[in-house]
Amino acid sequence: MSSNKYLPAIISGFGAAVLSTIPFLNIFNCCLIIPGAAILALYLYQKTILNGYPISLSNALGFGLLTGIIAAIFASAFDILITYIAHTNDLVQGLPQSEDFLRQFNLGKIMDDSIKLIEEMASDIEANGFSPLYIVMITISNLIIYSIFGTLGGLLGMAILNKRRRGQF
Amino acid sequence: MIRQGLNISSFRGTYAIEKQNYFIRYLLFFSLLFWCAGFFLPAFSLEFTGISFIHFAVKSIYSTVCNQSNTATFSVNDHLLFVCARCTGLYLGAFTAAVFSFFIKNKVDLSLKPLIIFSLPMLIDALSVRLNIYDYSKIVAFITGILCGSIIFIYILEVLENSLTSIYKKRI
Repeated sequence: MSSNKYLPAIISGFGAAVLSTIPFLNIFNCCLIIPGAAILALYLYQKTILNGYPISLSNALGFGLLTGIIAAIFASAFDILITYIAHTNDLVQGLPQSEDFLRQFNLGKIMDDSIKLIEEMASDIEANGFSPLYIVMITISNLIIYSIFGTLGGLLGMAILNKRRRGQF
Repeated sequence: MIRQGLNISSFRGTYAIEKQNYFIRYLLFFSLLFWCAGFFLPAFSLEFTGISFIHFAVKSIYSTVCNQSNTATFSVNDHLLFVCARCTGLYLGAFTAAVFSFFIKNKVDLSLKPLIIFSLPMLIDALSVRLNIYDYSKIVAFITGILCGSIIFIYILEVLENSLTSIYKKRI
């Protein structure tokens, strides 16, 4: 099996990661970037490898998932890199508001401990530009969410591209 | 006798396909219910949702798929939801379609026209806001999101059901 087969997913995943990381661009229709990338990956795959033949369910699921995973890896890497350079991120900037919100509720020791944990994470980022807990959290959540959205995008892409091929407008 | 046997096996096949389709619908319905409940978490009291770290972690999970801009997000009991108005519309639209999917008995086979018609308002709205043609409106973003989310759900359901049905038919 040629490695070129996975090139569309790698390119689209990388593109989606860039779009979802750059501050101005990520405001533009946030939750549709990853499904859009999966559709693009399938389109490129159908054009280049399948020579226009219909996309199967396994291909749609596989390419969607792969695009999501690649986007998650790159997006996490970009996020970690930007945080390392800037020594701040959305989490640090939004911490005072989150704290004010959480302190409205008197939940005792558990809440105090969890606020302390978040504060430690934020102070690590401000001091070193790096927090192991933050990296684990961002990578896991990106991997889970992007994989799901990528897979859904793959299914939607299969519906669109196969109908388009059949001339079903 | 042979014909009777074929009828019974085709009845069993139809029953199995129906069962499989209902399974897919239930799976999508509960996944969406879970997802929508997640971003509605701030609407519930923190005493109810429990540990604040969970609240914080769930918020950061949704931040991977939404900008969570304060000005573009609905609030319930003075607490902002975890996703913006457009995303709220998209997910609630998909959830509504998931509920209605239980009442659709026939096989769904749509052309691309409904997808274009239902998605276009959201794309036009998003572009118009970005190009400063008019100001962002949560209500417009929400309604156009509902339209787009519902149609996307229908296409995903269609492709899953039709593909799995054809795989099942090939096997028997």
